[in-house]
Amino acid sequence: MSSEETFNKGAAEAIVGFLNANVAKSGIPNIESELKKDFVLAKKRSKDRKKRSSKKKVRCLTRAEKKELGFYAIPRHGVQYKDILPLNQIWLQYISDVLELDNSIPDPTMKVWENFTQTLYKADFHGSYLKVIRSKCPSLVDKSGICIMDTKNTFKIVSENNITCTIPKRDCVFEIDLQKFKVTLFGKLLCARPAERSTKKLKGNMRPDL
Amino acid sequence: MRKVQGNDSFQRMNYLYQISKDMADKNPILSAYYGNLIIGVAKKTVLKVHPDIKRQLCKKCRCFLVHNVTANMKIKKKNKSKTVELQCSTCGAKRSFPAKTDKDYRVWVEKPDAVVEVIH
Ligand SMILES: [Zn+2]
Repeated sequence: MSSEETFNKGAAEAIVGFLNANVAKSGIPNIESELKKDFVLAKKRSKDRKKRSSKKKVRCLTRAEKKELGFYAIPRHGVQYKDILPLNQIWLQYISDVLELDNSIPDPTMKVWENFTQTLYKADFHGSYLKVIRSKCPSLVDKSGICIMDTKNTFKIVSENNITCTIPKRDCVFEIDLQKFKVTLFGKLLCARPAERSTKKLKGNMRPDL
Repeated sequence: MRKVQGNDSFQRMNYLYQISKDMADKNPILSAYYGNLIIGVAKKTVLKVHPDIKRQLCKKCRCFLVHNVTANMKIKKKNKSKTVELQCSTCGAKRSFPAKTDKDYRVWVEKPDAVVEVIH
């Protein structure tokens, strides 16, 4: 104990001596008072931090947890067609609201055509009735159903006989039934994540090569 | 006619909310997928999700919470004040809301004087 005290005293004296030698002349009278300053708040802060860290946080699901719950693999016979039929009815209402189909049906020659395609590109395709009319893969042609999932490169559709299948976007041409008329979509232009699509802009005339 | 900024994204979020609610009792996984997309669209377009919609989604898996279907509701007492607790049956996360009758818990957006103008 005593040796420690003497050591501390010696160290303190050394510091004062060092400051006396190195601080500018105008600062020397202040050295004594500066060293005796007490930081009152220094001790209080540490207590608060301990309290904060004890609180539990609700975190998002990790990828592994999602996989365990089956977010990525939808079984082939897992979704019934009659369950998602109301989805299609809500979608038809939504799309006619977004595209303002009640007023007029746009024509490719009209000025509003560009606006129309832009909004169609930004719209949601979950619940739409899709039909593949052309494809590089012949077995995919004529498949039709209601879209339930939309990923960067694929559509997941459920057909009338309750079979869920995955269709790549890039090499297919889709047809969407909008009751009053039909729209042909080139899947190549839709290759984007569904959330990202709402901010992306459709680039000018791309030539289809199918 | 005046238009609301980001109207098509709001419409999209509204539509996703509807289908998420519709799928809740048939397929909770798809419901969570659409709920996840609501948050994703709002994040990408920097728009706010209405608190009423946000409160109905599970915080962890974003599944739509319906009592007795995808969630279990309980009323708990926590130091003299009652809280409503919802437990998601998909992932097991809990959400609790204060439920004191003598206090106003509405946030600013839900109060009637927050509405300045209604644009159709
Ligand atoms: Zn959950």
